[in-house]
Amino acid sequence: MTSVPVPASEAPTAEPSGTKIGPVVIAFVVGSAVSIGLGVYGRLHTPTGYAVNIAGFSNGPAAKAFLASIVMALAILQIVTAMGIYGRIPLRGAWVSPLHRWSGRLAVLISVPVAVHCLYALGFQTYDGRVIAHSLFGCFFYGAFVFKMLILTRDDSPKWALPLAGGLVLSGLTALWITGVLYFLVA
Amino acid sequence: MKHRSPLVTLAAVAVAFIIMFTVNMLVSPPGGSSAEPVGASTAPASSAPTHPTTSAVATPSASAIDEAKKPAGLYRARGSRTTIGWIVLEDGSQVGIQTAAADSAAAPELNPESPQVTANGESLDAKPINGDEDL
Repeated sequence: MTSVPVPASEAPTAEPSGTKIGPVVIAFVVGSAVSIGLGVYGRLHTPTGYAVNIAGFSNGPAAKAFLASIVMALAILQIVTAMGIYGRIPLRGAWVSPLHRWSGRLAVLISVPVAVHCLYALGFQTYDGRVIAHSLFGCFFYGAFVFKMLILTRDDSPKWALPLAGGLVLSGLTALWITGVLYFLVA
Repeated sequence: MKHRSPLVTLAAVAVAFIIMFTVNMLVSPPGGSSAEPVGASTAPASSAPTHPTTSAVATPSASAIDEAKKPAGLYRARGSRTTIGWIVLEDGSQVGIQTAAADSAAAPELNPESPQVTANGESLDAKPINGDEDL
């Protein structure tokens, strides 16, 4: 990457060898603000009890469970390709990184209708432990996602930052799936 | 080196959120067509039309609902052919419907203090409904 000539406007602001913690902190603060913002909206907005949904499902929760499960499957693809990129598993090829990027983009995009249904129709609720956890993780997930995207914009982040951010996103999603879909399927 | 594609991804996700929220705000909730908003019909049963309308609470709201205090509440009287149900509000206004077989009509006025009514030649005792009865 360092051999690629860059336009003057995109000239590196720091030595490629040095790492900076500042941008990571800023990214973390922005991500946290997104989480808090979602939580505050979910709490202040009066839930409508109803939201637009994709057709073909018996009810809203079934559609959400279906979409969220697609997201979860893509997330598993995410960690597999990420482990390939970091050389933890023998998964190499020019297709690994694009697959990671595009499956991730698709996953987050598919999660949006689910999250909007949660925020618009249901809101941030606290009537039992599962619901508190689900509400918190929902806000956490998008904050962690913003954190990770912002870290991705820089090459001078510490090596641990990106795997940490990716791990937070995946952990958040897993917790969401367990407190949402698994509960919906089992209960 | 700076990369822009993650910012494009972030922007796309933000746009997707905005689109979904906008669509949701533009679409009216279901039931708006089936349950037409009916004005509160708290008229006493005696002056109610032959087929009393029950007022539909069309708008879900977060307002707290106080427990109804006696004599306000739900009452039911059951005879061999006739079943009557009343809704009595705290201000004393009430609405009732009397059903025998497939025919429904406005119920005779209920006095919660002495809840005896006569319907189709039967003398019935109206009882308050507490919500724990077998129907």
